[in-house]
Amino acid sequence: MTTDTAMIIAENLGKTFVLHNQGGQKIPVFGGLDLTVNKGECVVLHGPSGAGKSTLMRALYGNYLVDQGSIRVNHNGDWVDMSRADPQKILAVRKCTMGYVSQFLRAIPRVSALDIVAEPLMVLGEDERRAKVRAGELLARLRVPESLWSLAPATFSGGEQQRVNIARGFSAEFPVLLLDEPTASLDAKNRQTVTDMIGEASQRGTAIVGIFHDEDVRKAIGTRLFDIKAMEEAA
Amino acid sequence: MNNESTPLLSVQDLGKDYGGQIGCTDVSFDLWPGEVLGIVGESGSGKTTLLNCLSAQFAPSRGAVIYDTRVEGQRDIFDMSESERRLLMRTDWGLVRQNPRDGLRLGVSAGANVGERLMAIGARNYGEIRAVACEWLEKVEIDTGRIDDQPSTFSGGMQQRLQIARNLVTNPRLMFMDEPTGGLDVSVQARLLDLLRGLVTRLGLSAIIVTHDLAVARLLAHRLMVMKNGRVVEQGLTDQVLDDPQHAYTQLLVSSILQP
Repeated sequence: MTTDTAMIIAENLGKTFVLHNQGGQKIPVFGGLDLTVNKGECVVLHGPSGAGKSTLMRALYGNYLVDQGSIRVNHNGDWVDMSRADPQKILAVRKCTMGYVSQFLRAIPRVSALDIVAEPLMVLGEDERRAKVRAGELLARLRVPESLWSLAPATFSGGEQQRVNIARGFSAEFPVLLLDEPTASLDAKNRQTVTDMIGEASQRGTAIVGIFHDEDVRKAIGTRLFDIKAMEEAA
Repeated sequence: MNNESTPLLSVQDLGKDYGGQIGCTDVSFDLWPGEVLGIVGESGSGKTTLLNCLSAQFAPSRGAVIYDTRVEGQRDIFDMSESERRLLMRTDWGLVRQNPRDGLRLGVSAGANVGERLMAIGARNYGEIRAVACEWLEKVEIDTGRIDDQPSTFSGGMQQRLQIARNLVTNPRLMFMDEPTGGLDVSVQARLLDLLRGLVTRLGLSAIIVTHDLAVARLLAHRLMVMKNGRVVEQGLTDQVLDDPQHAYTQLLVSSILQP
């Protein structure tokens, strides 16, 4: 592994939640964790429920703070440490470099499915018409009926919302993608489509970190498993 | 364009006392061009006092508020003369109050409410002022057929949108908003939030928004400051502060939200 193709270098990461309103209870999640992800790699986070897979993913995205270690992300050739960069810098990394598909879509009232998917492209300066064409292609590929595109997804089914969420994650073709169980609420056909889309992103050189509970999906696209052990086990 | 490496607003050790009581104290932060800062906290936490000092409604007891003016660069707003400060507030700044009735002139037409700030900076051509007012009514989704009606005949949501249009007409660079969606129905709130989100992104505005509604903060603000007893107890990237709060008070706030 050479660092010139590395997109994420996380070193010695540690995370403990402290619940101040519950007697200062400490919940250690992980410690001493090292992870490097290169271009074109699809690293599958692996471990039992509660081991901290989603927590790690959120830390990589700057959504959770870590107590120790650093998370460097290759942002247009500059290394940005997501664990201590200021909010402006983290937002810049999210705008240009790193996409994140969460388990659930956070729908915004009154914003249409098409606009939600087109937005990441528009903030990068893509022309509105072209962004919407691209958004439409993705929604069509994910079998979201065209009659829904102009509606706000708050009333969509879980699977439809998740497909809008996935389309949004893929519209801008970020160099780094974080995928938190993107196929969880999908039927077999759509799961296959998403698997194909992830495979194509890998081919393009996208560095991917994902949580996939589905064995077939893991086998089809994962280039490497990364084991996360629950803290008690590791200790 | 101004230098990207100069903050639009730089606040240093700001504090305001009321008699022996602390309104807010030890507040320092930089606001960058295009950035939206949310100030959250319960009532009495000092967030509105802070906003009133930042927007020059109150003189602070200590500290400085440095604004990057278009012509002269960085200046402490409290070292300016009264007339300089008023000009700034009429042109480069906007102030949206929680109660639109405090921010509008209820006795004159909607069009005049929007046109007033233009006239204050020297616009004199009636036709042009009316055309610009019309344009802004459209942008905030008010039927232009209502341009000659007084805002007292408008609903609360329309009044709030009119107040926003009245402020934005001079292309301000910095907006101060005090609970802009407070007191509105949820459906009206959603429309206003969507509108604000669009305007802030399209116009590249910087804004400081005081709200007790964490969902509003999540939707509009890039960065959050959490206040308690007049002090900032936590600040950071909005989703980080809300999803992984570090301070006991923020954890309490976040865990107290009712899910519909």
